[in-house]
Amino acid sequence: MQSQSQQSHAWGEALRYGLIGGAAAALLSLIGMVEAFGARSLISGVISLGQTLLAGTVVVCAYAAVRKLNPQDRRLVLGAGAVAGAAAGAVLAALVLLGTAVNLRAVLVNASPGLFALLAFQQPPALGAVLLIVAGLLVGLATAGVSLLTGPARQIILRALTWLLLFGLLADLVRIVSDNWGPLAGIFGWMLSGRGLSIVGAAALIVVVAGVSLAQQRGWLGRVDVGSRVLAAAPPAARQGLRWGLILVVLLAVPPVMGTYISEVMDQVLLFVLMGLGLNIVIGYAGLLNLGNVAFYAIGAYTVGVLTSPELGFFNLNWWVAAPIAS
Amino acid sequence: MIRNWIRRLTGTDVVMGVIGSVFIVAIVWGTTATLLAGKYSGDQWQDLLIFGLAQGSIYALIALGYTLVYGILRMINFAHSEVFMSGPFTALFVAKALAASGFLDQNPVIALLIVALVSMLVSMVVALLVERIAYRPLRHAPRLVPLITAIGASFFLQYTFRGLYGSGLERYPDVSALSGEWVLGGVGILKTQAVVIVAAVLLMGGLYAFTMLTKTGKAMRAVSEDRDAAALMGIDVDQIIVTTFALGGALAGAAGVLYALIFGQVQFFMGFIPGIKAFTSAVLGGIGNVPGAMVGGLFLGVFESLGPSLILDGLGIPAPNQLKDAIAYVLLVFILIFRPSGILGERLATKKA
Repeated sequence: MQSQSQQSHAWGEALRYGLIGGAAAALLSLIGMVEAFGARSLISGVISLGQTLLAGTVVVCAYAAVRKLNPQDRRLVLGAGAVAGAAAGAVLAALVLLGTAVNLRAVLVNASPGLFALLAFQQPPALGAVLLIVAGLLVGLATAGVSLLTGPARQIILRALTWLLLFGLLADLVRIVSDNWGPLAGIFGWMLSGRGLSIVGAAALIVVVAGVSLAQQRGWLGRVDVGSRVLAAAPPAARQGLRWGLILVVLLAVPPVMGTYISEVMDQVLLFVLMGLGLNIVIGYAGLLNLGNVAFYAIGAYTVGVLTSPELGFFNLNWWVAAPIAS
Repeated sequence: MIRNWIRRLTGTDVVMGVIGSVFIVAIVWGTTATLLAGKYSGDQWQDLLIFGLAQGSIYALIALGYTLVYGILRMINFAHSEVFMSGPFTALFVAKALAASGFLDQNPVIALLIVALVSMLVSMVVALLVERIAYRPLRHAPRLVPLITAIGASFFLQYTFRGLYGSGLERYPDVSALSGEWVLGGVGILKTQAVVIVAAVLLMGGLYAFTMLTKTGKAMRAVSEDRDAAALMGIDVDQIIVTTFALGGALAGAAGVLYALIFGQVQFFMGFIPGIKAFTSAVLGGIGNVPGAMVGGLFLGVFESLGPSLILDGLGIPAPNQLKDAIAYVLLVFILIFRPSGILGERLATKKA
């Protein structure tokens, strides 16, 4: 009796998580993220990043629904995942039906016909709605299935999916960076097509990642950690120097190897690191949450600007002289 | 006695005293110079004062939301400025529909009430969602954590509404019944500003009565005084926190519609500046103190409106109206230096110290 009430509780929870996930997915669609992401693809011609985003939302809500269930009760877990996924799909389906029947665009600027076509898999609305529910159900079921798996198989699947997502998301970046890598550019160019991975490239990526994971699990590769072995072999005093030297070499290698785009991003990152360090001192040691710390960043920038400006005439210093004065 | 006082005088006190006196001299000098020059007529001063009161009452309504939440959770709800934005931005579409059907011109009172109610409802729902999703899971986290979350929630809401309704500056429909001015005892008041002031005063009075007279209000005061003791006395603290957010949200939504009445336009970014100003007035009046927020808001609004013309003009500073933000924050800094707990914050300081 008790387990039955627990079960009905689990179904209710699954439905609730599904509706929450559906609402989140609908919000993502209505603020325009899905359509914007839809312009790029994870695997060209198969799945766009917009669809990936929606599927990801469904995965998260289905996982939340099955996370706390007893894995022994397989039927319950699979069923809960399916219910959560179908509920999320149903919310999106309702959105499609509503959006194609009523003109939401007067209020919600991103509720465009393109969005609803994308949501309905380019099918007529009624068929699209059914497809959405089925797709949600399948994604929820798959999530529950993966959550039931244990050990090597689960690890291989999760790793393959992670690498696939990473490559798909960063496809444009990979192309920019790999352009000046000579022969390697050819390999990446073959893996990428359009604005995402090519089908062959995705398959190759999955095979390679799965193979490497499998090989690691079986212990065919041995332990690959040359770096820490070299560090361990060096005397303690040299170790510190070696470490800093390595960091310096990596930093110096960034511009020529990774190209200008990554270097600029790294500039930004390190600027924020510096500002974060400053804030860390103020908050951590003085306990004062200084919301105005960026003002000093601005003061420094303005000071350098004024001191190096040739138009003002009376300072016109070299940047290297101005920077210490400003700081 | 004087020797004792001199011995306790530190370098900081001297510096602060000197800075304070310089500013007081500047204020007095500027004011007398402006008044002697007679550049502005009495009517202009009246207009400025009334505009200041209208603006200040909007600040006060928003500040109440900050102060209520601070009083109960000891947390600065930075997402409150976005709660303020969400209501009128959503109600804009209701207002447009009402204006298009002509209902707004035929029954302006009912139409404005509908718009205000929609705005209050939306703001309330947004405030409750933020509380439920962003703050409740962090109820027992260190104090810095919900603060950072609040900033994040603020950005999230801003750009969510930008995505939903677009990034343009949207015009609110004009209310023809509120154009022109009323003349009360020889003083001309723009109708919109009069409505704003009256509505704000009514809402503030209602809130004050609610916290002072009802049982829920009593429970709110109890929770703000000592949350654990209140829980032990059988008060459902979570329920009270939810009520507080709902109240603050509804007031912010009402303030948003009043803001839209005065300035006539809304945008996804409209909450930022009034939100900061309202937070300033909450601190000015003594944060956590309901009458303090009202006084602080009105004071800041009037000071911001009168200050530039009254003080800076006399000092010969060009284009003083561009400096009204600066003057508001200088005022805040000085009040916080010489009266750290705000204008009405004395009781609070002794109670919570």
